[in-house]
Amino acid sequence: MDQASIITKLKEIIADELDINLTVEEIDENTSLFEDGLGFDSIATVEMISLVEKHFDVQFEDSELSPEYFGNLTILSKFIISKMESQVAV
Amino acid sequence: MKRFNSDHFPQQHITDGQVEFATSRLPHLFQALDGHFLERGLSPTQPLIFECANSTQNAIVLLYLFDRGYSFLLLPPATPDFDFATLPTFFASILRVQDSPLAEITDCIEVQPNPAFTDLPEALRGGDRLYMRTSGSTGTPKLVQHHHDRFFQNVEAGKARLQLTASDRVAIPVPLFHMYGLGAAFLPSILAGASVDLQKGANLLRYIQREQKFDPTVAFMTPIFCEMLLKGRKSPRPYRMTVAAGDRVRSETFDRYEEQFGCLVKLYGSTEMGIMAAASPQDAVTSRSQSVGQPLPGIHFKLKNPQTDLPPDLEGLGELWCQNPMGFEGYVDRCGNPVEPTPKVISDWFCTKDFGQISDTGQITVVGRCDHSVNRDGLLVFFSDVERAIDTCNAIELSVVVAKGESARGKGLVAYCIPAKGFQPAESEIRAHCFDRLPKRAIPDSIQILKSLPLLPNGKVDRQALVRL
Repeated sequence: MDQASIITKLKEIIADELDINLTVEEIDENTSLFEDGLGFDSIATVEMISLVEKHFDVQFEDSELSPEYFGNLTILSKFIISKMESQVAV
Repeated sequence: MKRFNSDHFPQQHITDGQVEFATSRLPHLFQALDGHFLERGLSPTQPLIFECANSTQNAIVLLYLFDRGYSFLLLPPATPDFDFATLPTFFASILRVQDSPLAEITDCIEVQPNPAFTDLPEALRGGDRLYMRTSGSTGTPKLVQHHHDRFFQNVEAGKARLQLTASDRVAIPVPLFHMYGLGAAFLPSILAGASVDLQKGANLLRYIQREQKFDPTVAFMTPIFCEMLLKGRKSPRPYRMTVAAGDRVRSETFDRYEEQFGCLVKLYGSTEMGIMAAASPQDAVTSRSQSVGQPLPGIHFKLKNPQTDLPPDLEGLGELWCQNPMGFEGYVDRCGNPVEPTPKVISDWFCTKDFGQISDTGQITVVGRCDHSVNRDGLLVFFSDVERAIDTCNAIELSVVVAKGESARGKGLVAYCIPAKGFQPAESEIRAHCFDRLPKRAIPDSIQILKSLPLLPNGKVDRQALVRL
């Protein structure tokens, strides 16, 4: 899976499966996920983490649950790629 | 220094992840602030509004206002669309601290005149008063007036009950402008000499990141945030103690939380009364799970209007009334005029509007809000009991019950339900589920499926909005 298709998939997950009233067109991959952007609260964040784990078959560690990796969808997609690669390597 | 004597605690720090401040520097800084406040025309006897954010620099100014005996109203930082004309009219100035990690705190202070100011009633002149807004979603907003001396007695008693010490490191992801964040978390920790980490907005990812850096031993949380941490965190992480308040903690959440994160202590308080009761970390787990502990020393509870014909686990239930010599002085309206009910003398009893039980040993159990229950078939029905029964249905993620209209059994009951992922339950299915678990009087007259629930700014469900639907 390349980065562009991961970003598309992430937008679909947010629009279809998260209860935050956004459409795919309204989501910009460079906008923050939190208060200063798409407005994710803790409930949406927890949901998002488990949806990403389910759809991309990855497992996050506590130390990876950081705003740095979840800043926006571009950053998150890169992080998912690195997770997928490291899990394949194991 | 009047209230705080920080030189006893050389290790104590206040941090927000950006700015770290050693409280041993407070006496020196407070002297510098004296000049600045004077220059800007502020005086302890002229009540002001302080928009207080959870940050190091805001927290220092907050400590300064208490130490110098200012009268002030605590409010959240104003949003861009905030209408300043709606502010109370007896505060002349608005004080704000712009966070700027590189600047001296004296350069971060902003003072502007309150556009709504008219005049200050004679009775409210003088210092040493703390004002807070009631958090209630109904009726006209009121201001709660505390005297610093009595309020700090409550803070001291809370510190002792929770056994906070100078070796604690306390995570505070709850707002300082609420009684819980201020009177239960921040001030008791500061007086104990503990270091504190102030967090803006309880965002799970930011919390976990701060947790790794600050390494807290104690955390003050809401029950919702406890559940968030249980869902989102991957591995156990022991705390010496977690304090939870604000709502009831579900017993299933309590057990899982204890397993993952250690001792959970429940605290019971209000904007008017400060901390009324709290469990101690020394209490046995069964007692901590059931009750909010003993009243703080000097505080008494009694039950009024005992309820009858209740199931065995609710035996002895009544309205909780509290007598607290460390409680508030009274309510005032927007213009500073006294509003009833106001305690005439400090020994007056205060109705908490909660239903509860008092055990033989004096432990307080809070069962639910009086206005979150109705009489049907002549018997009491708690919304929380109905919600719990509906929530056991696999097809339902969450339900909220409100009273609406009338029915043959008494007040009408409506349940609003959010379906679980991948389920599209029919009303009849949920109703059948209720029939198996609840007495007839507790089965909702109507069941509505919603996509989401309306929330108040504090994250609780906006029940009034559901009633208006």
